[in-house]
Amino acid sequence: MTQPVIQQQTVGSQDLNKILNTPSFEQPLGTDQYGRSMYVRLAAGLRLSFWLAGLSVVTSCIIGTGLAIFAAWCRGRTETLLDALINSLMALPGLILVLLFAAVIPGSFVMIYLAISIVLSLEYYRVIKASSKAILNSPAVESSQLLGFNHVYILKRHLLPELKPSLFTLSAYGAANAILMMASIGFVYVGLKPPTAELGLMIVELFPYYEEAPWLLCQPLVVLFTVVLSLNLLAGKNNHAIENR
Amino acid sequence: MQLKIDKLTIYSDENLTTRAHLSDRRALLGPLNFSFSDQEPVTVLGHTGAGKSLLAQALMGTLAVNLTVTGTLTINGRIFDLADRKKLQALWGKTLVLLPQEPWNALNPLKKAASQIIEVGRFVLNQDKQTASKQSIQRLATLSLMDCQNKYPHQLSGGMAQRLTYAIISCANTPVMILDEPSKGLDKTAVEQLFKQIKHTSQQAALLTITHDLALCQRLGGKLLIIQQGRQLAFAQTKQLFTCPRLPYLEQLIAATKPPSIHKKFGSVNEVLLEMKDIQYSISGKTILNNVNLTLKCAQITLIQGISGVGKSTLGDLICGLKRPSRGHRSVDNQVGKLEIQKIYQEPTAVFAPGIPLKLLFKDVCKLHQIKFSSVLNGMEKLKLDVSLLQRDKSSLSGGELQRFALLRVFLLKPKIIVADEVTSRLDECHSRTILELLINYCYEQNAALVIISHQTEQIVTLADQIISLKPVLNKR
Repeated sequence: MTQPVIQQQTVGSQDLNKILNTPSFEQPLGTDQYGRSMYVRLAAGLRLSFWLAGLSVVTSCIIGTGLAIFAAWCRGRTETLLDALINSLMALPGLILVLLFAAVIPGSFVMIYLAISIVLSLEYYRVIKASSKAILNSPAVESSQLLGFNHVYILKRHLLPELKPSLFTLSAYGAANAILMMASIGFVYVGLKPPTAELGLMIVELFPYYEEAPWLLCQPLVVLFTVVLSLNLLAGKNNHAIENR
Repeated sequence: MQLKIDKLTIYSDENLTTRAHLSDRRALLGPLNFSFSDQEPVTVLGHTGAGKSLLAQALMGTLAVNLTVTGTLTINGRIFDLADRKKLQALWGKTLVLLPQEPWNALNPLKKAASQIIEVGRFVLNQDKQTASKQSIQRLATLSLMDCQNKYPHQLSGGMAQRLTYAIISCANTPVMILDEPSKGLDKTAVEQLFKQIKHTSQQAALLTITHDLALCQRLGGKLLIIQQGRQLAFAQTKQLFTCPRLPYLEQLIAATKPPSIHKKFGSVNEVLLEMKDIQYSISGKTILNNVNLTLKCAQITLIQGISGVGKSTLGDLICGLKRPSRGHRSVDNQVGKLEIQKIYQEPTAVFAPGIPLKLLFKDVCKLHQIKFSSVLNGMEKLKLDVSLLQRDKSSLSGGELQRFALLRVFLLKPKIIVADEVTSRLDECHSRTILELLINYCYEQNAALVIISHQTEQIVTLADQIISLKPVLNKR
């Protein structure tokens, strides 16, 4: 993440004299097929992934949780309608939805971000609606309503504090999924276009050279694996915290 | 079957590092020494928070890991170390069985009643499918649960769930049975049915009953173990303990069962606050209430009684306006504002938002209704609540304290009508008496109408101005 501060090279700067180099003092992680610094490119790819994960998690959290609480509150027809919409979106595999969106404007970060946010918000909707309904049905909320408190208060004191742990878990899983999804569509060449440094795209670009330079192909894979694993562990850790309450 | 418990002591692991020796640490419970057998059942009596349930957990090997237990359990000469939880757990089903405190939570919510009993036959008694299901039907019939065969736990009332759990634990004919608060939250008829069953089982099994119900413990006979704040106060024949001169502690418990002392104010205004006519309430095609008439007047106590599942709570919700009647008319007098009908709930732990200090919750109420916070503090003093309790959240307060906080929060709004829905069923006798006194005194002081929904009616019958007995509505199929 700190790469731009440390090194002057850019993601795209090529050096065709030094292609597929092994790691050296100058190039700590070696160079790729165009002689570009792997270190710089990995750092840029990682930054891009985190940006996307962060953005889409925040967006989907707001959309998904908002709709879920709205549906749990209104019940009746509104809930049925929203359920129908969400269920039909859920019937599509998430990746197909992202591919569809990405195909509309190929190589657009915004489209990928939108698509991933929509896919992630489905999960929020499902989980949060179920727990919100239980909370809204509880005697605690009923007594708060009898005492004259309004919806904002119930949201502040009852819903959000109780939903917070699940929101955190969902967000950690969501971030892992978002990173994986972007890498997957990069891998099938529908996502961002070269020369952007993106983990999935790097994997597919380095794929032809795996016999000459296996260490290069390993790098984005290891990074992807580590990031997704840590996010999942983070989510899992929080799950234990919920169980132990 | 002979059981003997020696020097059972439970310590909490707090301050483990600072104090090296077990004997230096404060014991939560014990040391307890007692024995019981199939000839002589033992009843454990004590206040809420005396450590009764810890005893059950220690014997079952289910104590929380941050608690340390020492002592031994001897079953027919075999000695078990209570600290070895694994060994105790190996006894489950075959030798040792527990009726848990909240049977509702113990049942599998995804399985029908009958199949939960069949499981015991299949996996504990190793019966084949047919024998197990035949036996399960017999069990259900003896506990008059035949209608529930194909029902899921959420479709059962508290009493039914209790009986079903009892059927499950008793069908393996386990020689040792621990019953944790078997009569808690049950109405009189349900307790009666359960008692018959317990009496029947006690002829075959060694029974350890944990309760705060004095009537039940007198009827069970055998020996009585009294625990006060974790210490063994007495262990002797029940009859002997109940004959004079009694222990002061027991005396205090007995006094609490007598009706509360209230000085009724006369000459109070007899204005009608709420009227309900020909109320009918049905939900998903099933009529729960039919032709109910009710009038609430100032300074009047109304008792709603009936067996569990008859719709008492539903009527309470109709009075509060939380549910709407399917048919009939509900009219509220103009002097009763929208916020002046309040409800007190059965489960005091369920009415406060979790994880938030009570002080914050009370400040919220004060801010919303422009009440000075000092009136909260005054109220707390009246209700004998310590100021320091305000800093805690609901998880670190006892049921009795929380119920008083719930009362206080409702009293702040000066309601004209209070619906108290089984407010005392989760509390021991001393606490429930206090709560009732507070409610009734408020009602007379403020000229409010009080509706008490209860199945523990002896205490209230003498005080009620009108009694509404609900009977089950017959549904035509």
